[in-house]
Amino acid sequence: MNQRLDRLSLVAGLVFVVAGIVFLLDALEVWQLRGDYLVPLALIVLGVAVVATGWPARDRRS
Amino acid sequence: MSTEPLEPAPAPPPTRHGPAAATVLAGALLVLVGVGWLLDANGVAVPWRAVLPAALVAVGLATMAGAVRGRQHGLMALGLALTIVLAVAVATDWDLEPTVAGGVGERVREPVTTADLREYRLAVGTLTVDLGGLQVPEGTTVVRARVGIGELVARAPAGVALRVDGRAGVGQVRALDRDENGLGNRLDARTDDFDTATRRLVLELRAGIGEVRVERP
Repeated sequence: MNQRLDRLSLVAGLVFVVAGIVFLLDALEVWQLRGDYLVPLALIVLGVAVVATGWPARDRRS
Repeated sequence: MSTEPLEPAPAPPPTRHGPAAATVLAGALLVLVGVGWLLDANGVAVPWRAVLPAALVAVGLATMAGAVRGRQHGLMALGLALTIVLAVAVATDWDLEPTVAGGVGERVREPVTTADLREYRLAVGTLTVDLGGLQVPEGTTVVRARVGIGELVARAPAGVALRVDGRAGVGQVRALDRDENGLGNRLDARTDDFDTATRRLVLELRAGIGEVRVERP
């Protein structure tokens, strides 16, 4: 198979999974997510996403 | 006469035997949300606050699984939309319940006995829950009221131990000489005698955007 992994989709999927778990914990009242947490959390997620997508891909042919 | 070597024919695109798993999941999620919406419209309590995060996790897993097939534009858009809805719900303390059911305008409710009590709702406007004449029995009596956008005023009866759990997504909560302003406000206050009193009243008051206010004589 000659398919290329799309890192943006991979990172976005990971972000959705983490965000979904955080929102789920809030909905089940395991952990109370406060409104003023959202902006710093969004900045952290955005930063991680930028670093992850900008990381140079490993060349598997060598 | 010269002959040129034939170039190898390009490889045919891989044959797809069916829709991608990610596509199936996206469709299934849309169907589930639609079914939930229909149930909700018919009065069935759908736990949206737990359903939507679970859907977001599923979308994330499908997006990661589909990453090997290329960019997943549709799933990423769906995941982003779900994330925005959930983030707004948290920021405004909107619990994704149908507050529209309460209507629009100005409402005054004056329950006298606990049998008159129910969960009071108003989508947009001013809701006043006047508990001044309420006969509070021994034990703990809970009164719940919710306004989507507007003002929620609760008038507490005299001589009853009181606890207020007030929340406003955007706006103000004022009760028992305390005041909270801004975004995602939560105010949990009680009178000094609340833990020892025989007759206790708990007010659970919510406003998405607006003001929650508790008045005492």
